[in-house]
Amino acid sequence: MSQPPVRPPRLAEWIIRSVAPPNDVRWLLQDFAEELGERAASQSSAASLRWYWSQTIRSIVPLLRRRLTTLITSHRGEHMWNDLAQDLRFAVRLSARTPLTTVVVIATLVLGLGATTSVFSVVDAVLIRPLPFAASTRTVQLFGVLRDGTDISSTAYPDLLDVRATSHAIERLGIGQQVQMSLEHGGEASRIEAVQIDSDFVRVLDLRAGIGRMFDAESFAMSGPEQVVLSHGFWMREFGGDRSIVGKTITLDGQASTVIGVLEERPFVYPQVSPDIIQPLRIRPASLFARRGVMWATAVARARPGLSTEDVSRDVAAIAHRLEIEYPQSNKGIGMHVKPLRDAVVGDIGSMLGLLTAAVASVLLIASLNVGNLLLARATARAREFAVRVAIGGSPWRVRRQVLAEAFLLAALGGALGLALAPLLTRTLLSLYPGELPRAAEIHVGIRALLGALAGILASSILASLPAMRQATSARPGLDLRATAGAGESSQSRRFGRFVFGAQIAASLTMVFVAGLLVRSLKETNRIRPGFEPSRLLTFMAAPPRGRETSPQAYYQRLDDALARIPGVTAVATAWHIPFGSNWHGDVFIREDKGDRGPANTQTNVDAIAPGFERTIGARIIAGRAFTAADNDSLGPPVALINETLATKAFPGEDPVGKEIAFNAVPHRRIVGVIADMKDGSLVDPAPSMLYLPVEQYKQEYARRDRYVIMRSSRDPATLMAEARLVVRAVDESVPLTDVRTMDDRLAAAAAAFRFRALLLGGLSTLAWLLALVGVYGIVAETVNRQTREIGIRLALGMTPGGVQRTVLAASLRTAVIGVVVGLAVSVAIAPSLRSMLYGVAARDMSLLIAATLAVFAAAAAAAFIPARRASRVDPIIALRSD
Amino acid sequence: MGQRFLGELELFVLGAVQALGDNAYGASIRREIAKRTTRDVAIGSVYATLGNLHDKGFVVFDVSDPTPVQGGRSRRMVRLTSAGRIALTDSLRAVQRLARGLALGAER
Repeated sequence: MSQPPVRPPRLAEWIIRSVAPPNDVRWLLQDFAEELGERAASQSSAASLRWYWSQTIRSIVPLLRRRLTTLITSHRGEHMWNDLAQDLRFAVRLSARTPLTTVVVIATLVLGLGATTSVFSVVDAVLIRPLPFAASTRTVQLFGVLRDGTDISSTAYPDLLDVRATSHAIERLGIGQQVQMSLEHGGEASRIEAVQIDSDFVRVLDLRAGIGRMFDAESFAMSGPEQVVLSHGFWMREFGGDRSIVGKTITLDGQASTVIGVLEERPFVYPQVSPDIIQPLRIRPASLFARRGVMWATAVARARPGLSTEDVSRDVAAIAHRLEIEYPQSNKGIGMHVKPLRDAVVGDIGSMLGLLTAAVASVLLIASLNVGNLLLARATARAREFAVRVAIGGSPWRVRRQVLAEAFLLAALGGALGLALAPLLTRTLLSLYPGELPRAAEIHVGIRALLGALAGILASSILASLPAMRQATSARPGLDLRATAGAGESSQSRRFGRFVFGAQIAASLTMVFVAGLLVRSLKETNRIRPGFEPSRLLTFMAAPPRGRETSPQAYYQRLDDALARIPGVTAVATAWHIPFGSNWHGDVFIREDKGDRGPANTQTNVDAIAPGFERTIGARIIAGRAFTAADNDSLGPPVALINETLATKAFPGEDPVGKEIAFNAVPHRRIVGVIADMKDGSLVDPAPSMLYLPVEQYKQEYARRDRYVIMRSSRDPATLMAEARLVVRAVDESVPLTDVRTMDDRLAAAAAAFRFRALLLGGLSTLAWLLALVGVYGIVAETVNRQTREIGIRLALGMTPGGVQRTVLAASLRTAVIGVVVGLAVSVAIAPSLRSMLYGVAARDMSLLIAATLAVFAAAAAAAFIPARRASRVDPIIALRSD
Repeated sequence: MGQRFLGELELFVLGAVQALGDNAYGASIRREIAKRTTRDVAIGSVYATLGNLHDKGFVVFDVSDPTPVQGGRSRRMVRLTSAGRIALTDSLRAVQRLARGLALGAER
């Protein structure tokens, strides 16, 4: 034959090798080659190769199917499960023989998997699962938005009616609001959370009664009967689940209302996710509620099928623009946009949970790497055993399965315990969480978390056993049988060791850095000056009694006097709203000197305060004067105070004192002073603009009549609480005392998100750091163990113990440096995404990067030092005799 | 297991092994099937079927001495067991009984 022989295509051969049962590969390839040769003799080589390829491709499916069969029934005919049981029994015996390793491995996995499962439960409930009602993915919330981009979560009622009437993108639009009411029940008064909604709101959220019925048309009629539906939780709490409550009357804000039903156990209500009661919303056409520019209503809307949130947003923005032109007086500068309702509910918790997930996943990764390394060490130590098994005919698959069974046994034990721990961890997580986690009621360790945990167990056991499996089946009987313990390590296990080492350094460095950022932010928030004196202030809310002769004015005067007589109390004042309290009001005013030609109406928050408020809370007057007792007269000349922020916003470059504004349907209101900014709601955000009115001059029918009381004292305000309660009861026993907290508590709560993040990430990163420490120690110790003989030889040849120590340390630190570089790169890359959670610290803060590097590097050095020292103490005689 | 039915491919492979006698191995079995039935079976299918037949105890494998030429290799030869022979006979009889009286059209 002059023709050169046709070579089988490499790729085709590789395919056959990968899909064929291992026992058949050799014979298969030989047969392929034989027939190729025969064909090449009689056909063109191209035709032969085509034949080869078609044969290869047609062989894939039958070979794979055959391979699967051999996997299930081993070729000895034994059933796979028998083998598996045997593997597991062996794994149990083996694990029992090394109890310490086993306990460490299981504990690592318990923590890793438990934390993962509980965090996944939270993430799943809050972020992944759709809201629990029909068509929830098409449901949006409407927001008012000012020209400067500020979101106002509420909108004006007439605007909403226009949207409802003219929108092409919205199928149904519900209007509602959240209010607090007082409930008189069993001779006691208490504050309850109510949500008032219209009939479309009921339909958008698909609210149904579990007992009794929901509202009907009559309920929403202006002169209809007073009706109320209780939430399931409130019904259980307040009425002990008494079914006969339906049809009875309860007294709300002094008015008798008939209970017509109880909501289903787990409905979704908005804007208060778990209100106590819901009521029909009734707006009288002539009331302030029905005025344009008065923004109080919360609106939820369902988009028409097939339309996106963007479609709705465009549509609504166009309507808002039209309203601006039509009603410039009230609507100029006010736009509207929409957000998916789920985003509105979940808020910026998303980024927090993302961070938490990443942190927990890193811990699980470090844990799995540690376990993997321990298993690899075990497999390496048993290289001889595996080699013998393969040499006497054991299939490599059987050996691999053995390793996998060991990993799986450990992961399953760890997973089961972790899963048992998960509900506890979830509860701890929730209790640590400041305030109310959105959708907290929906959080439970359910079937999906269970599946998640199972996936975690499988993933971590496979990840952990992969290197050991490769090690086990790379057994070269000749070599490994000849090899003796300590004669050297396989390059594979060394590579994996270095990889684990580097990865752990990188991951823990990143976590320590992120934790550092969050802890620094917490420290910075603690240093923020809120603009008033928060210490030794007790605050609470008291509603004036209803249906009695006393006016609120007279009631609060009596209360003030009585509280001021408590020993140690130095000042008492009242206000509708206090910094870091509830009871917000917002409205617009017009600068009279500019008239209609001036800038758009200025939107601002409004507070009504009694004289002495700024003195009691410790705020400074920076221009003009404070309110006097004479100002607090509904018939006196109208006056106002503004804060610095509002002064800069509404009177840029001018002196606001003496200027007149029209506000609250009252013209010629004179600004008498400017008060220093007080932080409010958030410590880190700039102070909101505030307009203050004497409390007697602020008449609004929709405004709440209840006020906050603040008391400054010369002793610990917490000790005042009991006395304050007694005094309030003595003045009028029907008045409930709510939101009782010291101002320090309020500030702490405002910083709680920072504390939560710092605490959690601090804890997790410490865990990661410790695990990495253990991991590095294990790897270096093991390397030294395996090199005992080599070290012995070096020592015998004259290397000094110090030299040995340096060599071992240098090798470890080289790997650590690679890990540090990777960790720094990852840190710098992810830092910007954390910005929204930081305060007073740059996302790529250099000093923190350096500190984290030092912490991790020092830990690595310390962990490597102990085995390095041991290496230097190797006795050459013993080391060389050790075989 | 009682009666042991053979699949079509199993029947073909067993038949080819029987026909080839001492010279049955992967490639020769494939060629024999092609010659007798005009079906072009993939080598992979032959191997997969041989594997199944081996599990059922109908064939055994034997690694032969290298072929007596230069560079000759050893082969994995296939032999029928007595159970395999019985299964083959049973299946062929069944086919015969089935075919009896059927109008089979001209062979292509």
